[in-house]
Amino acid sequence: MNAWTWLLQRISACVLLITLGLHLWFLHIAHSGEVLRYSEIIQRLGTPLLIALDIVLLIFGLYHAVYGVYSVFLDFGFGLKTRVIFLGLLVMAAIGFLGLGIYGFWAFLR
Amino acid sequence: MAKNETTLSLAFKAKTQVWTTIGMWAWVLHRLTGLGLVLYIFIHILLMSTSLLRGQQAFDAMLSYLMGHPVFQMLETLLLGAVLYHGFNGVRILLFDLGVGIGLRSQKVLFWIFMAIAAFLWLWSIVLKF
Repeated sequence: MNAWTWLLQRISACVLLITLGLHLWFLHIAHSGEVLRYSEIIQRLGTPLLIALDIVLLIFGLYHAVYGVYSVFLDFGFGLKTRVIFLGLLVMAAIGFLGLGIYGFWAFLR
Repeated sequence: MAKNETTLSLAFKAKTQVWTTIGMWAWVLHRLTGLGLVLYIFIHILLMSTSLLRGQQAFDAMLSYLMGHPVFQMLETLLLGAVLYHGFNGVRILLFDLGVGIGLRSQKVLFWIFMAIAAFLWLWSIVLKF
């Protein structure tokens, strides 16, 4: 980790405050108590702005998550080899979940 | 021997006193909620995507089970609490980075102001939900 990855973590935090707030509002709180259905989600994702917002949320959310978990891992003082392996696993998991998330959007929009 | 005892008791005091400060608990809770949210985001992406693979009916069935079950409704409320805590404590950390509120007293004041806002929003969302 260096100054740039740290700065990106802070930037991702700011982005998440906005995008996660809007995601929770549009998909959950504004329709609280109702059970969501596929057709309603399609309707709510009907504007390019909301789709873009959710994709930004996915990318920055995964970055923030990976950096956060790695920061906690560093507190335990493992050696360099273990740290590299753990970071590699985290990055691979994030890429996998990014692919799954983008597939989810594509499945909604096709 | 007496000198060793003094050194040990001072070390013990210094380490245990850390746990009586708000900042330490705020840090611990920030890490715990962070790890919980990472677990959630992975499960969330996995469930949404894999149920979409099985078609619209499977997706609707999964959503109605998760959103209708009382246990999952309670878990969703806890999730929102974790998001609000992590988010507002995160804003406090961002302010520290900018040099705002880093005094001993102002750190505590900021913490309680943000926690009051988070608690209000959490209770409001619970009222809306139930």
